[in-house]
Amino acid sequence: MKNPFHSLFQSASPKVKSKRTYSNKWRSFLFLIFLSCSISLGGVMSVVRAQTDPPAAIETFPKNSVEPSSPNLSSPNLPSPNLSRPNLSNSSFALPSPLPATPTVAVPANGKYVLELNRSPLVGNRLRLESIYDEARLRFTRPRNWKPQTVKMSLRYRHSPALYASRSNLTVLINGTSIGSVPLNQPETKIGTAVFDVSPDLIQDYNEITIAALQNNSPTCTQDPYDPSLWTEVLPDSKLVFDFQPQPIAMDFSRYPYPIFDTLSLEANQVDYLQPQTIDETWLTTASRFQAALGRVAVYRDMETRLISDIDQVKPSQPLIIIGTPESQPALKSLKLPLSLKDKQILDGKQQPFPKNVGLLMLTTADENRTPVLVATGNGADGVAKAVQFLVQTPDRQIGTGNVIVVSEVAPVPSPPLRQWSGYLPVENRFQLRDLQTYDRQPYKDVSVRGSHAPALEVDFRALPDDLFVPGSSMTLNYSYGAQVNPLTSLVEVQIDGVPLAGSRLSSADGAMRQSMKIEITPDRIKPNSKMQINFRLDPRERRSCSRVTDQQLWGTIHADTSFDLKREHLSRMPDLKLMQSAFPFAAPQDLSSTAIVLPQKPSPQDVALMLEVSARLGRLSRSDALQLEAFRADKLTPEKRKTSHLIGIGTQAEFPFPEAFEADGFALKNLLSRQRGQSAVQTLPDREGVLKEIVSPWNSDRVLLALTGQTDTGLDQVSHLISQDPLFYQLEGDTVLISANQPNLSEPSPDAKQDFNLEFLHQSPRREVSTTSQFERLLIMLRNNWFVLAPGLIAAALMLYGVAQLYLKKFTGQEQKDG
Amino acid sequence: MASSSTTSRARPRMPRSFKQRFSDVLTRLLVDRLPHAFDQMLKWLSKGQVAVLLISLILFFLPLVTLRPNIWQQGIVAAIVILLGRLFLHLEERQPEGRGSELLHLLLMALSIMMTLRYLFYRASYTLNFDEWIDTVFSMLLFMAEMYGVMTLILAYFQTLKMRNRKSITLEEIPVAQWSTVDIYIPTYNEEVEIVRKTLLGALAIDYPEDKKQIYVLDDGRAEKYRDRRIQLEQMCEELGCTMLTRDNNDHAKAGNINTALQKTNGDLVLILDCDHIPVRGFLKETVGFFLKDKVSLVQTPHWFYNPDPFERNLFTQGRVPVGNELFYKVLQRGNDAWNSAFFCGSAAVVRRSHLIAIGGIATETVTEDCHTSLKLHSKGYETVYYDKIMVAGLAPEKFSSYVGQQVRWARGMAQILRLENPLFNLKLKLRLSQRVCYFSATSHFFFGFPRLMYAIAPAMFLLFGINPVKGLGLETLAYALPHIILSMQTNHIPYKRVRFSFWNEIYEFAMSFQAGIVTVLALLNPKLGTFNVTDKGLVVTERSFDLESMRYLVLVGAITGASLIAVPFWLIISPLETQAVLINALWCLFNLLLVSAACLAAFEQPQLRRAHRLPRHLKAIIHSDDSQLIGETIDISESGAQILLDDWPNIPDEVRVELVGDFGARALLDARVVRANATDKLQVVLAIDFLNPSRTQLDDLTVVLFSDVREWYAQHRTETDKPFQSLRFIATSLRRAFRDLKPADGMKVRKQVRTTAKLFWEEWGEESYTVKVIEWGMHDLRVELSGIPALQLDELQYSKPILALLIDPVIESRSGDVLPYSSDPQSLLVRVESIDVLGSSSTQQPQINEIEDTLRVSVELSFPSSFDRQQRNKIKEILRSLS
Repeated sequence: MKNPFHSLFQSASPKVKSKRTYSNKWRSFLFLIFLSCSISLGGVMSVVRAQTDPPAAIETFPKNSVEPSSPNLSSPNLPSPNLSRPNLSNSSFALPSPLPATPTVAVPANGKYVLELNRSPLVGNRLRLESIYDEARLRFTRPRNWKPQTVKMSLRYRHSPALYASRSNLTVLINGTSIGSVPLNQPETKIGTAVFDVSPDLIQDYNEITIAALQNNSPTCTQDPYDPSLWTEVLPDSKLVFDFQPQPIAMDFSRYPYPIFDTLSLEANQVDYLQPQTIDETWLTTASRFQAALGRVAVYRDMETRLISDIDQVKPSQPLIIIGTPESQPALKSLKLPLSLKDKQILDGKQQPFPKNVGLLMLTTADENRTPVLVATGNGADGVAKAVQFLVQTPDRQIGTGNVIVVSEVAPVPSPPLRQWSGYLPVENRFQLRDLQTYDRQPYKDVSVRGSHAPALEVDFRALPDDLFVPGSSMTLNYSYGAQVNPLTSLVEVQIDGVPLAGSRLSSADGAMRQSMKIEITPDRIKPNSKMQINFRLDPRERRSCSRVTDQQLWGTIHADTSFDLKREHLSRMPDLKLMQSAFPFAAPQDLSSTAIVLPQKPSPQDVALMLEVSARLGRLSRSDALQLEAFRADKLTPEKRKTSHLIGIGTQAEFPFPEAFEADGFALKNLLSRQRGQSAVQTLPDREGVLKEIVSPWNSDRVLLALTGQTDTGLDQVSHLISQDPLFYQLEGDTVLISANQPNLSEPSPDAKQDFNLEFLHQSPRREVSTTSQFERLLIMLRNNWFVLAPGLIAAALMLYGVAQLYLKKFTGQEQKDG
Repeated sequence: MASSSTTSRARPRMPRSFKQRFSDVLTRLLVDRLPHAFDQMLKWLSKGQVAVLLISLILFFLPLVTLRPNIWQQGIVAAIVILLGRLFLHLEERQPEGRGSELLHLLLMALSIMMTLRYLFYRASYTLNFDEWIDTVFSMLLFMAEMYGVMTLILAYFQTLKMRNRKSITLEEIPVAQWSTVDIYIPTYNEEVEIVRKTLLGALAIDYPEDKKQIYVLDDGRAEKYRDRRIQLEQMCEELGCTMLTRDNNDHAKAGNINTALQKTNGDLVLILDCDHIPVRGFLKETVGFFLKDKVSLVQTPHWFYNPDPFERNLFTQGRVPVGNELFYKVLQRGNDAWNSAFFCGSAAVVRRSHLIAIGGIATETVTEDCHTSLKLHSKGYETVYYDKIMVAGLAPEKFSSYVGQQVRWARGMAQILRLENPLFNLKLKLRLSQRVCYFSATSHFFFGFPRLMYAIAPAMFLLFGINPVKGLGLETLAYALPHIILSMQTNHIPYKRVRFSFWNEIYEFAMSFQAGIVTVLALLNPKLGTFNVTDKGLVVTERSFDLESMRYLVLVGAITGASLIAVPFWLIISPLETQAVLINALWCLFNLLLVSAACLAAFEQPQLRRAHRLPRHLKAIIHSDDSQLIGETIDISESGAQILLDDWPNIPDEVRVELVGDFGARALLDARVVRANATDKLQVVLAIDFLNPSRTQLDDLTVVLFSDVREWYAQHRTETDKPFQSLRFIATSLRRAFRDLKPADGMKVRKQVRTTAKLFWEEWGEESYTVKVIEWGMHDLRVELSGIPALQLDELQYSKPILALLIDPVIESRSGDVLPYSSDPQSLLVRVESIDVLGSSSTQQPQINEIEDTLRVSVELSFPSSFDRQQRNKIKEILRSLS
């Protein structure tokens, strides 16, 4: 290893002899200035960057500045939208008057729906009630267009023979209203059945069933509340039976995304996309954005997507989405549209064609009014893009109403900062509980709990996927509690993912206001899916006779100014598919603007379907006001884009847009059904497996390339399942996944997908640390991971300081002598 | 067995040579190669650029400072670094003093600073406790105390970066006529005239042309109570031939006194001597040469005290531990000198009058006028010289209270300078940065008080009240703190090893903590507060006493610390979670208790054993006895006596005449009494002598021999070096020493060996007498042998200790046994029986009085009763002379 100073010095030394001082002084001076500046800058940068955006974000911004009025489509090969922002007052168009009546989806026949309790993950195989008093709660929704006519609850249950019948009973409540009680008086092992009539008025959009059991094994006093003989089980085939009358669905954007997507639906939502005549970037990008937007609406709800090539393939009441100009979607002609269509142009009320950059959104029906249809169109690609962008930008979408929307302008929504992930921990290292969000995205307020078995306050405490916590993180819990707690047995405790961090005794029997407790948070506890539980274990000072707990006087409050002080750095080791579970790094920033999906030059339906699944998944995993996801065909991807984006490549081995992915080390698919792993090569027949592989992007080492591929189209289908089904998706890890179905019939994936598929995880490529922080912090992280360089480092530092200091002293003395 | 012994002997030799070679190579690498490489690599950088590079490097290495590995990793790093420090120390020990040692010191300094920064970062980031307000308060206080400690450490590093070793500049080549004229100022206030006399004698004996040197006693003792003293002083000045200057006010104390005198005298240079600083003969010849350089305005030499200070005396260090000021004079002043910022210390310094007048005389704004004066000199661009040769023998304060008074004055004065002049940032002072740092270091030195107390209180607060100033105190804290502490100790060991032993700094600081803390804070608040107090010197402590007045608060702190140790078992039982913190605090408390009790012992005044302080000087001593002369050498000597080493056992009486010769030939002749004699291991003889009623002239001569005629004071070079563990043990055992009974020395009496007979008479015996052999004869007592005395009578003699009559025969027995005639008549003397030793039974051989009774052979110790001293003394002397 050459001394870093050596080369500098060697180049300098001949001149020292020849030119004497002047130039060298300059050079040394410049060197020193540079040195000191670079070091001080390094220090400053680390501060500044930690507070603002890391380099990746800086790279993403210029795009917007190049095409300022192009919020939606920035790809250079898309038709460029109108650069000047049109005056909004001039942008109104004459619409046909009178407007055609709002299309309505026809009413299907009355139906009956059986909601078995085992649909709830809470129930599973059984619902068990224990102790003297116990209750179980289940929630269900009512689909939008249902009007229940009769609702019956059928309860099947077993209970312990030890129960004393006159003091044991089972009560069912719906939304807080009792619908009936039964005494628990069945003979041993006999299954009891109770049927309750429910008033249809009780049923709302969101409903809660409470099943409460009072269980006693003695006529006077049940001594032990934890007696194992106190049990009742509600069997999973208990059910709620609806007789409902579907209501007509008015097609109106004010209720969007309904009816395209019903968040209250009891079944999986189904969406069909009509494939355009030619699949181009406009369609790919808009479809993927639209699908991602649907994914955001769906979040955890099931959604099934189909790509159909002909409008006849639609099924009744399955929404159809048509994206494209009348030219690319000739099926538009066959639809009953509110606006007239002539010569593949959509005309306004004055029978003039709309300008090409105006987007049009329409809701209509097809298939004899049985299918709701969403049309996003325009007379040009630009207009289509605008129309879709209107729907995927939350602030815009909320102002939509009626069944026709003419989108003349969509305001650009700037990309959120790279690390601002809604639902995750805030970017700042110091924040308060009120800065976190509840499940319904509201900030936390002071939370009070009552009773001795009050449920814990559960807070999403999700670390960003690239957060690396270092020792020294802490939280200060601010809490109050009421009087009459038993100071000997009551406590407040904090857990992360069920593992307690610390607890504090509630030491005053008279209660206390605004106590605070400082808790150190162990660095490796916080994960991207962590939850923090803050739990009051309140115990009354006295019990009533028969050990009955009187606990409603007990309360505890967690204050919203509970504060957190986290010490963290940003570092991720990629490729790592585990990070893919939180869509990292594709969802950074959250509007997906740094991600590009790339399909083969001629995308097959499987490719497109897979693209839609990936988009939906990315949508489910990210939250932001807008979506900037892009999709390209292989030949349309610019080198610039290829370099700056995280890439998701889709296609079979033969068609795969990035052959580079197969050149990487480790597992690779080869031509002609052959595979290679390291130096071994085999041929397999048939190769139906899907492959999901993540590598560091060959074009930018701070980006990744995710390859979704297979030898055959079946393989791609497998990948599709892997992406779309939660049980499979949340198993992802390693850098390469091979997936194959155990069952030949793949069209009917079972809810227990885990068993139906065979997954193999491979760790192959060497991981590279990708940090979004400054060089200084990277150095720190490097040192931390290699602590054994610390001692040699310190010694080397001491030696260097010593060498320079002695030189300084020598120079000082030299000068002194000169002075003297 | 034989083979094993040979192998074991052979084995160490091999590694030792390897070890030596390894050490040599490493030393060469570190001391020669590495600096050379850096010199070559960076020679194109200017001084300022190197400084920038240095700062950049420190910034560059910051990641090494901020890293926090887990506890055992940090433990390993700590161990490696400490071992490395030990290795460097080992290399340094093999170096002669000088460049190699200096460079290794610098290297250790760099390593130590890295570890200190690591500790600081860790401490600031993870251990500050803000849980409760009281924790916050104590946490911040302790942290500030530690910051102060780190600051002083860094300042000390700076001051010991380079140390200048000056050689005196000879005047020989310059014609005497051109030598500067020197005024010698001896300012006095209320000190004993005897003390001033010694200094005056020393000043008179200074070797410098008579017409170039003028001595002035500047007496400021104007008050009525000092009237007699002033008259005595006047007489003495007249007698010795020097000038006494007085003034009609006491403004600005010593500074004003000197400034007034400056107006009245006109020498080129002024030698300022405290009235208890006896200068050596060569003082001026060795210092005046420095003034050949025009810019030099001050030459300071070290202060040194020949008597034990309270720490030395009360902790019984017996000179084995460097005293408080050695660090300053032997290291820090030399370090300051390297940056041209050696301070004026008020005495034992030569100042150029013109420069002094240019800055308006001695500074009067503060109570440490000396340091302030040199600050002014430096800011005028003048130079000062520190010449590290002890050339005055002074008196340290005897009592702890006066020691405290002196230190408090310094503390106040230094804080005043810091407040008034603000040497670090005041742009009006034309000082270089290095000088600023040196002055800042000096003026901030005395702020140790409250930080020191904070260290003592912190662990006690935890153990007693559960106040936790260090969050998460445990092994991890130790893993950061220990390398910081140990490396700084190792680094300081190199310059300090002979001047400040481990942990003594803490004792000095603890002893002064309260007073220093209060005084410095007050001085910062109001720099005008406080007056110059004159330190009492030359007092005599006669009995044990405890100076509770000075130590009240420290005793309290000690009591709290001790009490907190009682809480330890309870903590361990009740709160097992905090075992680590409790144990560390307990150890810390124990350590504090040790230091605090040692500091308290400094105020436990121990009686002074001798009338005058013994100086371990090796002077030629000639013992005149009758006509013979014995030449020996003193082992130690004081104004009241000496110990003289002789090669052979002398046959001398117990009163002799001793002539002492100084290093340059000054002589003093004194009568002395030989108190006892001891044989040494080498079978030499050590005589302990007391001087007998010396006359004024004899005393003056002795003063000159003792204090002036000195080539080099023995305290110039200390041979003991610091060994931290020994030092700690020594401190730990000081309590035992302090309460030890003081035993007088024992030894043999010295009397003239004679062979003569005499007759012993006693009233009880009637006419009968015993013939005794006289064995030893002294001026006060004698020993005889007597045989044939009945045991019964012996008891009576022993019991009643009667006075007997002794008749000396006119004949003496020669060595060969011949009987020689004695010139004069028989002499009779009265003697008292002191003790009787039975030598043996002689019943069978010489039945004299009664054949039946047992007779004994005994040796009898007789003394000449002091009541008859006047009558008998001459007779005794005459007999002694005739016997020899």
